Amino acid sequence: MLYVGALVLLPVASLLRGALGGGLRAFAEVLARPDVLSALVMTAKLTAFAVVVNGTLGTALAFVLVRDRFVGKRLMNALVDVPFALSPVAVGVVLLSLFGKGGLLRPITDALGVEVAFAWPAMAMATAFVTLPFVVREVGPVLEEMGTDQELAAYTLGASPFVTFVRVTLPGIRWGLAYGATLTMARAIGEFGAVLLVSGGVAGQTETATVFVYRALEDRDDRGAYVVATVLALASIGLLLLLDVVRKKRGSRAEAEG
Amino acid sequence: MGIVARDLVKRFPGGSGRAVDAVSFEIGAGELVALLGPSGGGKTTVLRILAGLESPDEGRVLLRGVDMTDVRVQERNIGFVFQSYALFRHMTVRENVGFGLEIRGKTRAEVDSVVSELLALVRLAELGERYPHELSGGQRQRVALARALAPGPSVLLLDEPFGALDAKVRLELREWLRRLHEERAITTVFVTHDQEEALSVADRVIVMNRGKVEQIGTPEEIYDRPATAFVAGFVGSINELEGEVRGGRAALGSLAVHAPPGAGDGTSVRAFVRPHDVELVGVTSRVEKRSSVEVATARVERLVRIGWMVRIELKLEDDQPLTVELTKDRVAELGLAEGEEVFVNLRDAKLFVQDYSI
Amino acid sequence: MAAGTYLLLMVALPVATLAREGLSKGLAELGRALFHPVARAAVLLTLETALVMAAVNAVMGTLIAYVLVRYRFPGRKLLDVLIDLPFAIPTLVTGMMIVTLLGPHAALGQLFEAAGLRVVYAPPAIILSLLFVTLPLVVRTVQPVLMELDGADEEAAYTLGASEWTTFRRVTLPAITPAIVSGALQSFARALGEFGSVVVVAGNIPRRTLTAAVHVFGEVESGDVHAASAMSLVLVTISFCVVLVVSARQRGGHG
Repeated sequence: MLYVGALVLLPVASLLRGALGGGLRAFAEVLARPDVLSALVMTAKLTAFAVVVNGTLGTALAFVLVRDRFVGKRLMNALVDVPFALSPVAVGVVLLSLFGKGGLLRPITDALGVEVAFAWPAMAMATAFVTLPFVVREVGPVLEEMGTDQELAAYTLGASPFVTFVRVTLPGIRWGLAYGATLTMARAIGEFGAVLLVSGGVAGQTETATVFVYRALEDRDDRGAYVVATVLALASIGLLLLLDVVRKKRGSRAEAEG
Repeated sequence: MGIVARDLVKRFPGGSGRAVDAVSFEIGAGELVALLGPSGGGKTTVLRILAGLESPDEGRVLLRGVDMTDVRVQERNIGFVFQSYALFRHMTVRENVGFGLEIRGKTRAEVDSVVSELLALVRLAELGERYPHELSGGQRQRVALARALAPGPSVLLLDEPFGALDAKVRLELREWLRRLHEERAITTVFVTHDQEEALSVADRVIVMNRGKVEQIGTPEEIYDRPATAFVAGFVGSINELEGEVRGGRAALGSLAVHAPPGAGDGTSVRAFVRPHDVELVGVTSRVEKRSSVEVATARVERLVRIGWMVRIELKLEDDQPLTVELTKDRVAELGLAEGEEVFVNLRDAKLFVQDYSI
Repeated sequence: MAAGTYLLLMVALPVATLAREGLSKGLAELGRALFHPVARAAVLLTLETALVMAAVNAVMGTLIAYVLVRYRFPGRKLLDVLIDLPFAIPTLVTGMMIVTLLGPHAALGQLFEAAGLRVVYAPPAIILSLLFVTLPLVVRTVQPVLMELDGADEEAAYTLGASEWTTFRRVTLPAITPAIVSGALQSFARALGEFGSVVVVAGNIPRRTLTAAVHVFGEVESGDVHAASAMSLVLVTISFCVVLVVSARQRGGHG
């Protein structure tokens, strides 16, 4: 109890004190600053990108891993976990050596006239990469447990594969998907190391909320750092509560099914 | 014809062996037929091929005279009840039952009226708003049945429909399926490994073993005139005796019965004897031995009382076991006790020439 | 198909790139990058702090899991939710919180300072932030295993005359040890690459409080992508090996 209190609650409390030290009005004033706003919007965009991409492709990947049999499935299964094992800075380094100056893919992106490194494409890739496993790992077990009987039953009742997917399969995995997506969000909002390396760090343009906090700390802009950090912390606490709700929904159902 | 299966073959994945081996049968419109056999005998695979959930490697499937072999499961107009019921967990009972109608573009009112009618039929009218996980096993089973019936299928297929239920509910549902079939007269095939279930519910029974059809017939034919040793052993028999033909009779240890037609002296035979086909003449010390050669002596090894019946485990002189069933009154009348010697006689036995090729 | 391609592009390509970049100037150059005194000190510091953290985490995480599963008390639900907080809070924010709490300007920090213990901008803060970040890993691995034990084994031991401590040591602990080890290994792997919280609390003084991940960042900032790749390669290799060990153990049915 005490251990958890000291390790978890004390730090959170001290952060809140730092942010709200100047009163609510000062808090709001900082939030309205253009560089703060743009950083928060950037984080929101990247998070949405990660949720959409990993929500769809992660679900597809879970299907392939659960339903299909093929050579190299075990390897593929292991690959899914790589982003968990990789240090965020290593991810940044990879993206730089692919798209940075003299990077492997730089000739292609230059020819296409796309700016990847130090711009949003690299940041989006970094965010999607570090959050890749969540949806796969949450949807997979649900799919496995659900089996294919409900889908076959829908077929015998005359439902096409598409109708079956929308009306039977998707509702069946919805809580797993919701849980995975929420984890993805939490992780995407907090991603720092990888994004820091590939973001241009141009205030008001390519800064995410976490990168902003880091720069603000470096620049001794303590108020700005505290306010944005508090917003991030509150967002993650909100997501945490959401996770708990989703987990209960999913749990009660699974238990009742026996 | 309701259903015709013609030379169906399904190979095991990987190619070695056949799960379904040249299976053919015809089922009349409105018939209620059981596919009976041990697990792994290929009966579920046959049912899934009829449904279109699996496609045969060879052979054809005809439903109502139309070749459906290459028609997708969605367009076969069949009702299928899964062993696991496969109810949609996220839908209520009403939503489950209405699903097949709804996706056919029926109006709300049409769906509602059919669903209400079916729920009344399966006696679940009050539970329409419940979710599957709030129902008992028997209730889920009936929802699954109502759901399969809703789109008005021409054929109803059930995979081990009562397998997961406890004994009492199973008896109720069996009775109920029989009545439902009488009311709706829909061509119905159900798979079961329970011979009693098959014999008591179905109009006709198809017995399958190792992917092949062993016998097709009415419950009486299957029980009284088993076509193969497998059917005789699987349906109703407990006793299996070995012996050989000698002097035109089949000698089974100290017992003897008429020999199967065409079996010469020295042929090995297997005999299947139903427990009620063993006549227990009496305790040797109290009955005079009759002159008949068919009467043999045996020792009472164990008496097991099951309700008003008693199962008597005997051992013949050549140590072959033999089980008899009598009412407890008859046992008292005979004065049977463990360890006593008794005279036994066989009223009937199903004899098969031993096939050494197996 | 699309899913497979996505996975290859997203995961296999980065690892291959890292290996190619790290080895592009040959093994000798790789060795030079790694045995540079600053780099070597960074790797050592990272391993040391991660090891200490994993040990503390194994003990405390098991304790928390045990309390959560076996005892009923007001606030248990809240505690259960709180355990996941470190997963949710951005690591950078974690670092800030620790500095605010224990930094030279904070009351608690001054208290420690007066006692002669420097926390922030020193190894203790690194360990502390690693503990925070990896807190859920051991708890969440051990918890389900404990739940499955359901107490009947322990009750059986009591009826045989074993004391509570003996029961824990001889019956409970052996059953959950595989899970504890798995959780500790995972937190170790996670700690090796931790960046966001450490970069804020460590002070990043070369040879003293500079960890491997922060070193990578420094090399990138100063434009030496090759040295950064070399160090990343080492980090990735170690944590990948640890993850492989964990998943092999799980597949082997040891928890």
